[in-house]
Amino acid sequence: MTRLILLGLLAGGTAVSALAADAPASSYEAGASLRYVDLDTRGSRGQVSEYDGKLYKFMHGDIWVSNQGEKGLFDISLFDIGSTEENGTLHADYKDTLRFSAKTDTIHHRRDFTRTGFLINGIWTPATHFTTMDFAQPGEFLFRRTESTFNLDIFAAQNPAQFFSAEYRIVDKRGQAIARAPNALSSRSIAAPANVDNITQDVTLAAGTNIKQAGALALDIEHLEFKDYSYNMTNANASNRIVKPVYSAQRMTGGGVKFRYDPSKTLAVTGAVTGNSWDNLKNGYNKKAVVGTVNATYRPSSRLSVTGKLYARAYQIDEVQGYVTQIINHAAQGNQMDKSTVRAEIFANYKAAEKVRVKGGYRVEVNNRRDAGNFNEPTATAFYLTPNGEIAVPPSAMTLVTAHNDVKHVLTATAEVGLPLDIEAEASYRRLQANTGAYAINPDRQDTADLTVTVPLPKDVQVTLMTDYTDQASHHFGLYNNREWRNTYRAGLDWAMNRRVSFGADASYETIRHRNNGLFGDGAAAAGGTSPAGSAAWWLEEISHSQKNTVAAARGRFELPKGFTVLGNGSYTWMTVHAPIQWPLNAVAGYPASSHVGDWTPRDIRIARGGAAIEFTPPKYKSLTARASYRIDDWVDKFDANNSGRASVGEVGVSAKF
Amino acid sequence: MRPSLGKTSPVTLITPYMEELKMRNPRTLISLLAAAGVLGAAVSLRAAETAAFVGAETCAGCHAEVAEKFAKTFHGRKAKSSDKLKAGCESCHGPGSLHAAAGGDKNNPGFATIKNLKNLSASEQSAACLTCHKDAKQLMMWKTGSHATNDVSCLKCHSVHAGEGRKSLAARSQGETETCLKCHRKQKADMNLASHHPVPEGKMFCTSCHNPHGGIEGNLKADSLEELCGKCHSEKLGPFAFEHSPVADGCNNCHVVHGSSNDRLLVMPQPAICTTCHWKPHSQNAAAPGTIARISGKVRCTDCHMDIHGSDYQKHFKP
Repeated sequence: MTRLILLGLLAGGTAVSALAADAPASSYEAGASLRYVDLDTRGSRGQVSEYDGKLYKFMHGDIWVSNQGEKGLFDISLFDIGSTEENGTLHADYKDTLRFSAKTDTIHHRRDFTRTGFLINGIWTPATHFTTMDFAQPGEFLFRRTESTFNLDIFAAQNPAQFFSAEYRIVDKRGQAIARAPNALSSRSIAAPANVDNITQDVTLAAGTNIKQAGALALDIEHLEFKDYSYNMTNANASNRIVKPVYSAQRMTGGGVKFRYDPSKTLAVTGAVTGNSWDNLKNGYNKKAVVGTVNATYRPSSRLSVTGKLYARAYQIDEVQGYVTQIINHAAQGNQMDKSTVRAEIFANYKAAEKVRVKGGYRVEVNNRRDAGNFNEPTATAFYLTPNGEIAVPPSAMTLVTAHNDVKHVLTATAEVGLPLDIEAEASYRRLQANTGAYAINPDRQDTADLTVTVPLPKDVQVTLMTDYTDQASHHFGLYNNREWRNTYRAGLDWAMNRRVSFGADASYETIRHRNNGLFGDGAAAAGGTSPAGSAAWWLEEISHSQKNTVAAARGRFELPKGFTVLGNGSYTWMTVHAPIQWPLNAVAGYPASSHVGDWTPRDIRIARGGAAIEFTPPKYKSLTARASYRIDDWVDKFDANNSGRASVGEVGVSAKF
Repeated sequence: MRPSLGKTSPVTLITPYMEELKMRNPRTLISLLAAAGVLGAAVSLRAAETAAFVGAETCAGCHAEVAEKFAKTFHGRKAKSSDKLKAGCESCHGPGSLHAAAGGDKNNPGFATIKNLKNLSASEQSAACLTCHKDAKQLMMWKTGSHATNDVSCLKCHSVHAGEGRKSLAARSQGETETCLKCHRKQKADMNLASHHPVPEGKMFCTSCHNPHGGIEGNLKADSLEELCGKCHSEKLGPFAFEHSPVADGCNNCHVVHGSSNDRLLVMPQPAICTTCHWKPHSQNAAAPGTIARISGKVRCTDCHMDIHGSDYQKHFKP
């Protein structure tokens, strides 16, 4: 498919080029490049090359042609030819009346199997559920995703504000991914490669016109189809059990109208109404959604603007009664959730003085969920033994409810101040208050404060310092007692000394702490039990969960004498995740007595990326450039070396402009 | 501040000399006043006369470097074929005859008759661009969008004189993503984390999901977050026979968009994120192994509950 599209682009470009060639006073530019690519990978590619599909060494190339003349202009470019991730674009404009564009791009997404684990007795221990023996075909698990878009715009010659537009988009995914399923014959799960093969196609037609000088209207209709062609995998160990079901085919039809209206120089109004209908062609269910919005900005002067917005969305799912009970022989389910959202906000922006600007806003959002359903956790029937040997009696009602209605209020305030020495500071505060979060993970109270300071230094150097702090809590689900804190420090430096030298650096340090209560059981509870396994559960309070992310990056570009240019960039990312707990394992088979889980989700990842390139353009032959580059990515998983890997790419090539 | 042409009275300019003349010779004063009036009228008339278009070649006579860069931009390349750009530089800056005639003399009233966008407010800068682009479908919601209402003008991201590509972006040779990340530094740091969309790899851009010119739902390219995610991840949207309600409610209940240190862009890693709602996974059930055995075996809930976004086959989201 990709080759066809690329050939089409080339043919289209050639045809347009031939037409334009007759145009008087047109000018061409063209270029091509060729390079030798050498790849080297060590260890696991799944993390270090998650999105890198350069699978083949040897020659890659690019070609581009552009033309502009009295009739129009066109550009065609094809990049990374020979790399399996070719991408191309074609643009053709005919005066102000016609515009055609086409583009295609390909990416590979690796989704290799990664082990998980936790700290037992201080030692990282992988989860035991999967072994390599369960892999039917060990190897790389990646799929290739190609997205291509074709767009045609036609404008009325006498009034370019009147247009008709057609767009076609296709997304094609093919390859392999890991599929997992419980194995009926053992306590282990099956991990096997499953093929990925699905296509999404999308057509949009639009038309628009202006309404005198003050307004404009645009209508569009869209049709989308998703189909999955993957086949079911089976595994002999599981007695022909289905490992990965095929995704259900889907179809969507929708449309909408957008408008803008400027009744005066100080007032602008915009709005839209859209609707769509999604069909799941497997189960026959249908989801209809409608959205409406109207916005207005009043700007009486260049110092003041006030904006009001109203947004409403509602969706409803129509179920096929009997699909669950009759077709797949499951117990009857309740109706699917229907939801509506109404949101109103007002925002003001006022330049109080030459170097002082203040902004403020208020937003209220009301959500209603019909048929949200409750889901019932098993009710406690016995007492519980805590890790400290205490007997705890948790609340008898253990039903978690999705909030049927929630109302959120959000208040924001920002001040931007110009200080001496051209220093600029911006401080803002945001407060969220809700009667409840929809789910336990959603806060009903959140406070965020942040500060940014920009400092200009001599020699065109600019330093930016940022910090922000967030504190949120979920009180509605009181037993759960969800709290979270985030703290971030960032710094950035930009130096554009002149056209020849530019340099930039960024650093960021972020901590996220989460705390909640939880109840963890092991087998049926029995009164009087003292041993964890099979007889008790724990009510753990204030389970802590933390993440720390440190990122540092730099980039530079230096033009040297004699036609040389040196470019470089690099980054270092260090992420740690911890959830320290004290979880006895002494009665679990396979672990020694007095074993305990000390960390539930340990993670320590260090990613180093760096690249450098040198270009040479001979002063006498400025249309030629030679380039050599090298890039290395190193991913280190401190807990599980199986996830670590390194990938490097070296390239040497030349490019020419004609 | 630009001088206000036609509002400077010539009589005011020569007042000190007039006082001396009044004392010496009233007739001379009257003659001079008359002459000054004629001269002042001539100056005012010249300033108030409509400036005429002189053509891009005249502009290039003084602004050669800008003209050379402009010729390579999308506007420059389109100038030959577009009626909107027939006037070249003067399509945006206004007729330049008086400015050209001033010959670089900033004291000449005609010098400032050219529209210098750098001296305008953000909304005025954008208004200059909207003269031609106001009816573009991607700009329909611009005036009420978050960039415009926060005084971010077109020129913050686009450079007409030296911009690159068809979008004339200002970030030099750094691509459209770098244009956004110059201001949105938090998102830039998030994209360096372990799990991220392929934006740093150049396979997606900020504009893959966002319309910086304004949209129906914030700056998103769809009318809700779920519809936006569904454009690429259609298989996750449903509607499913067995629904996972936080998924149907919103993708951002479990995922962050720009980057996460947890797999699959999750807010928290498994099983912690699942246990924020599911307090007692696999407990209190004599028939099946309990939580500890489960977690010691797998840790990831989705190792068994694979179809976590919803299923048409099995109510516990197992295949």
